[in-house]
Amino acid sequence: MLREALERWNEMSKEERLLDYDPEEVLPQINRAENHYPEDGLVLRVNSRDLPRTGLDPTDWRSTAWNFDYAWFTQEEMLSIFPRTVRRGQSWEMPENLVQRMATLHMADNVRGQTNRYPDDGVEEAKLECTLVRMRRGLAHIEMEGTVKLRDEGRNRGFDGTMYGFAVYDTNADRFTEFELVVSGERWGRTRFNAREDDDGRAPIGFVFSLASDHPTERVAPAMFGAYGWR
Amino acid sequence: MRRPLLLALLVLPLLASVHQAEEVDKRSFHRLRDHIMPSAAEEEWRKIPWRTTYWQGVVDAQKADKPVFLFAMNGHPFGCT
Repeated sequence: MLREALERWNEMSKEERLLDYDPEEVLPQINRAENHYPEDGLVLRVNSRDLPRTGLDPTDWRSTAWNFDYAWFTQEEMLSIFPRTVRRGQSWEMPENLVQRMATLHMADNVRGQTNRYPDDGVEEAKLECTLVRMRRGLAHIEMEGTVKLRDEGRNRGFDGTMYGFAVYDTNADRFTEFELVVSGERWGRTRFNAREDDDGRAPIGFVFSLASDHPTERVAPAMFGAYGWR
Repeated sequence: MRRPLLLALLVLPLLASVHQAEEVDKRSFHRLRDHIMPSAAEEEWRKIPWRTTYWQGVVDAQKADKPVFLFAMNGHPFGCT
């Protein structure tokens, strides 16, 4: 079919093949979520995978399934993560609204397939404590530690987890140069399309939040971008 | 009677721990991270010069005088549906 399509394409004149206007001019008029990519903010890639457990069939794709999403932060939000007033050894909480967004939108079980966010009122706990462990040449080395408890009573699902990680914030360039946060916990329940029909008991799951690259595929908007309220 | 009871007491905590999630801390951080992160083989698809949006593909196709191959299906690209 592809070969036939290409043959037909080659039979057409250039006028027939191409649009009679410049499609680039239309590009800014399309209000895609990707237009809101936070160039000056923070973009984290969120990888998710089941953690090791017994009883999984190694030949089943679902045993090693992996998925990913992106978490976006505006420049203002990014700046709020590292308060300039902190000194070495001091600790502070990452802003509550940001941790809650990371939890409700990015700690949902999407390992095997598309899922739904956790409701805002389903956050029983979501705290991430940051500590400035070292400050050298304008680079703030930050240690992160926290806990999360999510509930979705309507779907009888939940997640209890712990978080730990490191980040380096360049105070001269006002950007994160390193960011790695691991979330490990137990999830249970399922959503309509996340392929947990026969696996909805309590089981370990993990997430890693890390700096996204500037690869074109890393500019895709968060799966639940609508819940960000940015447009 | 005492032996099966003793065996059950030994086995029960093991079964309980089978599905229990490990707490992440400084010691377990790297091991858990490496388990969750995708392998090089899982990232092979990135070698394809994907466009983020359909219309960007149209723009590039127009410039290169090439057709667009569109594979469409329901669901978010990160949803595996």
